Amino acid sequence: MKQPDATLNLTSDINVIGSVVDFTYKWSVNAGLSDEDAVRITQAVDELVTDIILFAYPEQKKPGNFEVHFSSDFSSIQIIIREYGEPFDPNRHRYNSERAIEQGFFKGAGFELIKFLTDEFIFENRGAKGKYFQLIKYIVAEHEPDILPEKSPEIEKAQLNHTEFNVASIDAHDAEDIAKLVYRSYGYSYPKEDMYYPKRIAMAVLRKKKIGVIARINDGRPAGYFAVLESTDSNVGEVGEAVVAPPYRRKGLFKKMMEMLIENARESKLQGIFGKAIGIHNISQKVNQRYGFKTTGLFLADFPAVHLYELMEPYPQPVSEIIDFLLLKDYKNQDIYLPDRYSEILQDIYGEIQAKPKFQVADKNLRYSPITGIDMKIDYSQKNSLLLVRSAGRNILEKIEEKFSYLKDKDLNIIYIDLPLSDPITPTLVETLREMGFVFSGLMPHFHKRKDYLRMQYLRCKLDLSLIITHSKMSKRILSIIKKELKNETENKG
Amino acid sequence: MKQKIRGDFAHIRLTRDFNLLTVRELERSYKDCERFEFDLSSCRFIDSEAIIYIHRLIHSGIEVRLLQAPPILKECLRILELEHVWEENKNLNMVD
Repeated sequence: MKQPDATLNLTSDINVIGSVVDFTYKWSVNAGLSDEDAVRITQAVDELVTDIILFAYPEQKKPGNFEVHFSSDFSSIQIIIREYGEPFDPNRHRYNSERAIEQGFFKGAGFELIKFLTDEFIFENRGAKGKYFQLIKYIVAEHEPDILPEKSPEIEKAQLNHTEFNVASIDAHDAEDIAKLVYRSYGYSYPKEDMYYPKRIAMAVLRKKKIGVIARINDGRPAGYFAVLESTDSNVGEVGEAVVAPPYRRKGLFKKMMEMLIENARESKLQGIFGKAIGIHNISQKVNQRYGFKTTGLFLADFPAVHLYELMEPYPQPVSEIIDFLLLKDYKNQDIYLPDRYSEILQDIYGEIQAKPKFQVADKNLRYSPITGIDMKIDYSQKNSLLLVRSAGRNILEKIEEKFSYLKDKDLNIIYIDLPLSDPITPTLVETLREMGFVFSGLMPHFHKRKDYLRMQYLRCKLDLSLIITHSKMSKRILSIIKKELKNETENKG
Repeated sequence: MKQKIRGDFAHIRLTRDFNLLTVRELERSYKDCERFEFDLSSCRFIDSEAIIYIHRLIHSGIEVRLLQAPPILKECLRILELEHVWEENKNLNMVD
């Protein structure tokens, strides 16, 4: 979904196998996979590329083409392969071990290996747009990190009474201190597991996937950490990690770090930043509002129930989050097509973030995109998923329903869908999505490819909405819209 | 790919992964060979094309020795449910 870190454009010739395989292995190791897992994903790529070379372009005199895209984040690597050869139905090429042993007939063996050598393997036949294969491998640390605290937080709290802190931008050398800070503040309850692995943190900093600040007391001991993460395929960052160790809380540290972080973000290429404030309490929401963030949305059941160490009682249901957004630079103007149903709320959100797009009304004769493009992202650990509509062709609803059916079979709490507000087709989709059970989520400014998106969401778990704590007027208003739509949904089903 | 004769066996040291390209080269170069000894110490993996190639060799009566096969080979044989068949085949000898 993000811009790939690397792309290879290749011809379907047997001689490219060695090169693509060597690149895959070295790139996977550099992205953080263990040697064993790098070999597994490399063999999976070898199997797929071999199948393409052998079977995708059988009748052509000249070899065909295919692409391999490499992307990674803190916890996984994703390899997408696209080819444009003969149509193919994997269900007709299933491996059968008995047939292989008895008759020496090994059809489907390569696909069978790919399924087991990867953690996720998705195949989609995209018609004229070719075939799409996504291979995912999760990054797993070989050893538990050694980040146990030297002293308990209580002892530190009793011994230290610092009020002065040095706040500086982070570099890779701060990684271990950041992991220790997270442990000291949350035990092992922090929802982002990556934060317990110094190596992952260091790699994210080196690869400029996070901009952060760290606060230290005079003897160099870390006291707090704050970071903006590259989290979308656009120039918008997420204030995704915020930690102040218990002994240093209520000393103005949060304010110092937030100010420096916003300053650093302003100097970067980012157009805006957003924070996901958990709806378990209003502390983070209040802080966001104090620094000029404005609520633009609410994500229901964004991650499973947690018990955040020291901070609060166990929470009985998946955690919903309030999206607060801060525009850092002048709003990049866009033509925006608002759906009738959400026109008022979206205009008010635009007003709050001080963005003035050109609101347009679509022509009666809608111009569909020649092709439909929908990306799908599944986060099994957080039990959420996203359908991202890139372009809407005439079969857009059919494609949405197809992917929605696929996701409904998975163990997920929520399915989000992002619709481009710059596309006049979007307003025509909203009512059908409502009929399917999707409800409002919010405005996602500049969220994908620098364009504004409407997010809707489909809840797949039981959620007591009265337990969601909201602070800003807008978050309360968005929650009331969601409650109303979900209530209608229940009544209609009843 | 480097080769020498060791006793009755053609000893072949593979210098890259054992995959389609290697299989094609072996098929071209060793049509009539009846005893292979593959040194796999430089291979990261042995892919399905190579597994099929070895499977067909040993089932056609050709003796094959695999030296220092990468650990992922056993994983792949397990996935393809070929592990026992290979273990029981007298024409195959796997040496760590």
